[in-house]
Amino acid sequence: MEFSNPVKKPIKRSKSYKIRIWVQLFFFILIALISINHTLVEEGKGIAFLSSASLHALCPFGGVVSLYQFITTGTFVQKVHQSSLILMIIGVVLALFAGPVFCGWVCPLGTFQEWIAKLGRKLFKKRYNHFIPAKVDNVLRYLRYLVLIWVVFMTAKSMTLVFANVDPYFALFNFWSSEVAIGGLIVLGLTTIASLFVERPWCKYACPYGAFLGIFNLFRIFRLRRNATTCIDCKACDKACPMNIEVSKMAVVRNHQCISCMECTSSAHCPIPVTVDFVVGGEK
Amino acid sequence: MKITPRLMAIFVVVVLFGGMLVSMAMGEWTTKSTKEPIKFSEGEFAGQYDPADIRGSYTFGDVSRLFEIPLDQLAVAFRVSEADVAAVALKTIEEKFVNLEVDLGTNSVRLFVNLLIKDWATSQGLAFSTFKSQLQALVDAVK
Repeated sequence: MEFSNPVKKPIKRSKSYKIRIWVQLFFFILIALISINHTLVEEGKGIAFLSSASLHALCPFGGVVSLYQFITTGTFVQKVHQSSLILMIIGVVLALFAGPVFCGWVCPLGTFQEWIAKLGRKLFKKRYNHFIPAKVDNVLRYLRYLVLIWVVFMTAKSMTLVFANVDPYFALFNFWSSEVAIGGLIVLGLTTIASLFVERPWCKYACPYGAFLGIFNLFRIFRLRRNATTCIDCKACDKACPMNIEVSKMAVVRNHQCISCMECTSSAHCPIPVTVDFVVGGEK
Repeated sequence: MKITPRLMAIFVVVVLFGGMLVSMAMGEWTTKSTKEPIKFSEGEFAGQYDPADIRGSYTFGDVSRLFEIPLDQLAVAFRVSEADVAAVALKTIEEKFVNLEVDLGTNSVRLFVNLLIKDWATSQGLAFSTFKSQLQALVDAVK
């Protein structure tokens, strides 16, 4: 059955949903400055009031891969520090409430891919983010769980940070440093090129930390709910979703790929108020 | 209750920085290595530092202090020409020996310290078998 949009005039919507862009920009600049400061401090210079921590110390995934070694020996994998474990705990707390909100609002690599996506969207218009056939795409989405298992197993076995050899996040903020592995630069290059065709390709198909946080979507406390009675089936939510989730077919979004970016909500792209929203409590 | 993007932004920033501040207040927030390797838990070297856990961020000064190896011996072994040998980080060794066929780096320091321990163990009449396999792994890594 076809529904017509009962809203005659465009809704005067607050631009407050764009606050995510500013939060992302803040974390991107913060991490970039810390990484530059890390290099400067090693050369005997540096900015006094800014952290000079290694990026490995500021990556919550370091806590995930170190967990086995920490439990069995009480130590961390080389290059990983206690701050990574604390960030992992914070990431889990955030995910318990809102799902992979870290991916959608904080991760600078996700932000970088979204910036490249703007160019891809201009180049390919409506075809952007729809190059891969749905059947193939659905299978590829589970690749990141294989990556997660491989990284955790190999790190536990070797007691070294094996992921550092292919880590595009570290490469993005250390491409000028001799510490970055060539594998990381290659993966970063591939991710950048792929971002011209697919939105957030690293997050969708390869990110082991995103895979870990995605599990929390099954039972997060803040639920992304679609009100079927007010929904006009315009599919604006589907088009807005960077992860290609068909929100318009769900009552509650529990998809492991959702990054809690809120682009599908009535505060952002859904044209009908109180139709797609993040809610606490209420009916299930 | 509806979560707006503004509320979500506040939630993310407060939980993230709040968690970091709490951990700092508790003295748990560390972003640097403690410069103290793990110790052997068994065998004749129980209680002593394990050379396999030497990190690239350690300086020659740290290695000298932890394993009681004279700095001048380390400087000769790794051709450290800087005036302040103690301040040179181990991870810089790789840049010094870029033209060699073998890959020299932090693993080489681990091996060197291990060999010194072997000399010491032999002089003390102790068995080297405890960490022989570990040493072999290091040798393989340097190859």
